Amino acid sequence: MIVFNGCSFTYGDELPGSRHPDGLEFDTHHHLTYAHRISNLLGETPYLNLAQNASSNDKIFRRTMQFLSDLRWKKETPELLVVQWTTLGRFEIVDPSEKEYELYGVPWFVPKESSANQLIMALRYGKKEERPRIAQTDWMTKRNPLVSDFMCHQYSVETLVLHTLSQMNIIQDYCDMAGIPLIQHQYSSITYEYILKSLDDRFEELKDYKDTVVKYLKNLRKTSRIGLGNTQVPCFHTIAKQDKYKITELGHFDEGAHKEFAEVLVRDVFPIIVTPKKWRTD
Amino acid sequence: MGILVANGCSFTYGDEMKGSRNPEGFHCDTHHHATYVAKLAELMGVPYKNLAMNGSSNEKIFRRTMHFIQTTKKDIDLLVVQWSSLGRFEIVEEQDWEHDVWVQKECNANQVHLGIKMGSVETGPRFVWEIGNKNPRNLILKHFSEEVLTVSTMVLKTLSYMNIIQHVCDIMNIRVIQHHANGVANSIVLRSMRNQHTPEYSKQIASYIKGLPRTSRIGLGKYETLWDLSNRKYGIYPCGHPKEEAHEDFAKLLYNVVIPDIPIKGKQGELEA
Repeated sequence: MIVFNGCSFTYGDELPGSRHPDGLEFDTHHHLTYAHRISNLLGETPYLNLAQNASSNDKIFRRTMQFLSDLRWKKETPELLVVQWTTLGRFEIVDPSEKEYELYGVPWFVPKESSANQLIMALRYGKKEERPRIAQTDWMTKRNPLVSDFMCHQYSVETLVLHTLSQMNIIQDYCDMAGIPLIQHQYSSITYEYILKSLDDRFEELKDYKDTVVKYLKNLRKTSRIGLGNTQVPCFHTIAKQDKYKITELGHFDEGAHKEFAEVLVRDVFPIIVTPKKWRTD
Repeated sequence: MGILVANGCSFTYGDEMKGSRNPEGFHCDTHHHATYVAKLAELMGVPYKNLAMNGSSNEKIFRRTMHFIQTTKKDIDLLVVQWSSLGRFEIVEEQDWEHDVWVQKECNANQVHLGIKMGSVETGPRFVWEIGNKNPRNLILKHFSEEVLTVSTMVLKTLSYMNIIQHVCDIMNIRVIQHHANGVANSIVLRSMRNQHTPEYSKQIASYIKGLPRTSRIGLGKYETLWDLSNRKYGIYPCGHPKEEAHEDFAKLLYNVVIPDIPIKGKQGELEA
């Protein structure tokens, strides 16, 4: 079985057949996703797509590890794990409120797993001499001005970078131990731009942070760095922004882009995936 | 011979013990031999590595523990992870806000400390900001933690971390013990699960707890924690840390009672047995 996880880009939000008014369980778009296409290209290998709309990286990491752990008790191992990491600007809070639904005024299409709301933030690249920041948005202020104050003035992009790269390293090392072939990709290379900016020599005061982040990046193999400095394989967004494809108003990719991205992964990435040896105790 | 690896916050570092808080810096501290980690290593007859740092949040403990066990070339015989207060999280910041409070800096991350008020069954536990200095940073943190961030968020994170560590250690064939700083953690987790408006959260937490063998639930309903033991028998140091005698007793508890209880392969071992 191939296991996929990620956010709406892997779930296939806004593909024809998604956003069923009666609920996500009635969605019929799944055959159009890159996950399904990869399964087809690999001879109808069964697959499971764990991705959920609006997932933060914390949620993607937590649910991926939990799934792998549960699977192991059943003495099963995936033939391949594909993890798509989302924008750095997300944060989860377990909260009984339905603020996201209320704010958008439309069905929100986000499963509230573990009763956690996913806060969505925009990032601000800033001027050359500024560190990247979390940007003030109307949505965040409307949700709660205190969220806005915290995210924009106190929390930092560097914290999100540190946590995401740590999570990517943990998953890669885990897969190496458990003998699971792995692909990790960023939906867009914008994350890499933010990481590089946070490493800029001008920001001398964050030396320890930078040393750790460089170490984390170096430890990731090419197959875990799609959209993260791997120049040989285009990321999902690079494919989707070609003129022949359409990006929706909410920023999601069309079925043509899903199809081409699946082909790219199978053609260019699969041959170089390292099949890890299982850990000694296996 | 494998080594003993430990991580945690000041309780495991041994803050306030005689020889700690050397004015010249942490590298001059001389209390290490008296910590429960050193005592346990002595009982086991193995070398040890104590990764614990004062003030560590569970985010930091998890990140550094995973990095160490997944990258070290040394054989690990036993991993002991002590989880800190649920009211801590980390922020990478330019300014060092902890330079005067005996906290080792790592990755330029400040560790934010929040108090926890148990609250009623209806409201559940809540964070409270306990630092008097009302500079703009602290005011933002106070408002966010008291009115937006929930204790359940931190419980979910911590229990997820505990399960991941348990699972990875099972795969790597490393014996693992996990313990909480004090028994209050159990009351906080249980109280957070009584919120009727977050049923999926409660179900998830119950599943996480079930996934842990009792040797990874010290302070979560099993055994006695280091702080509780110290408080009951010897008292507590002025800044809230367990006394040296308690470290010795706790090492013996781990060696004589907990280690023999460790299942061969975590939950799987128990099921197979």
